[in-house]
Amino acid sequence: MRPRCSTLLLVLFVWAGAVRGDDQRLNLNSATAAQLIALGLSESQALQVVGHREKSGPFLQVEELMAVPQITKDAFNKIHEHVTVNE
Amino acid sequence: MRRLLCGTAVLIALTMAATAAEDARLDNVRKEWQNAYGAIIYTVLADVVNTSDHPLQYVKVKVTLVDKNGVPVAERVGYNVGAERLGDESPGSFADKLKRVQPIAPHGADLFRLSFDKPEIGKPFRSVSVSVVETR
Repeated sequence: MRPRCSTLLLVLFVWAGAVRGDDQRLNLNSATAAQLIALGLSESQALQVVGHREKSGPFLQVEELMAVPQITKDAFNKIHEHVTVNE
Repeated sequence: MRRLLCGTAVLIALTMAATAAEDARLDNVRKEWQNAYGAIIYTVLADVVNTSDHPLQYVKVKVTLVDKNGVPVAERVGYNVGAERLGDESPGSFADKLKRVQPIAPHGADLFRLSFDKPEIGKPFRSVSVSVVETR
């Protein structure tokens, strides 16, 4: 009985971690410049992301970041796993 | 009778698609967001390979952007670069334009490119389907 409980607890722990991880991703369509800076973008990059959203509308894919001036491949790689869009 | 006609139409469409897929394939499909002087566009690129032993006048390709529920968000068809004039809105009949396309040699290749303007897409999408729908 005890091993079954342990397995159940392990499954719940992994599931909870997955859910929490998803929730923790920053939504590009509501993120502030300060939040983007906290993820590792420079101030000018963060302002470009916010400006892009205001000018061109909500991001349709995380990959759309690559169309933002100053967002280099390195900057994209640094944050893309930590951000999401409204789907 | 109507069912028979519908069934026949579906069968013909499936046969055409299968034949098209036999004559050409798409390699190295690339997708990217671009900023063209402030206009945000989503571009799909691919290498179109003529896998047949005869020249192909054109390869028609369908691109579908699909959301997380599998629902198409945007869909367009286009032609390989050498036959792009077939899809433009310039004056002239399809037959006239066909005379001026650059055929793809047997086992040769051409580029395919198709761009969506961001406002044309409108909604978030998760995946992209790119397939050959017709060859000639």
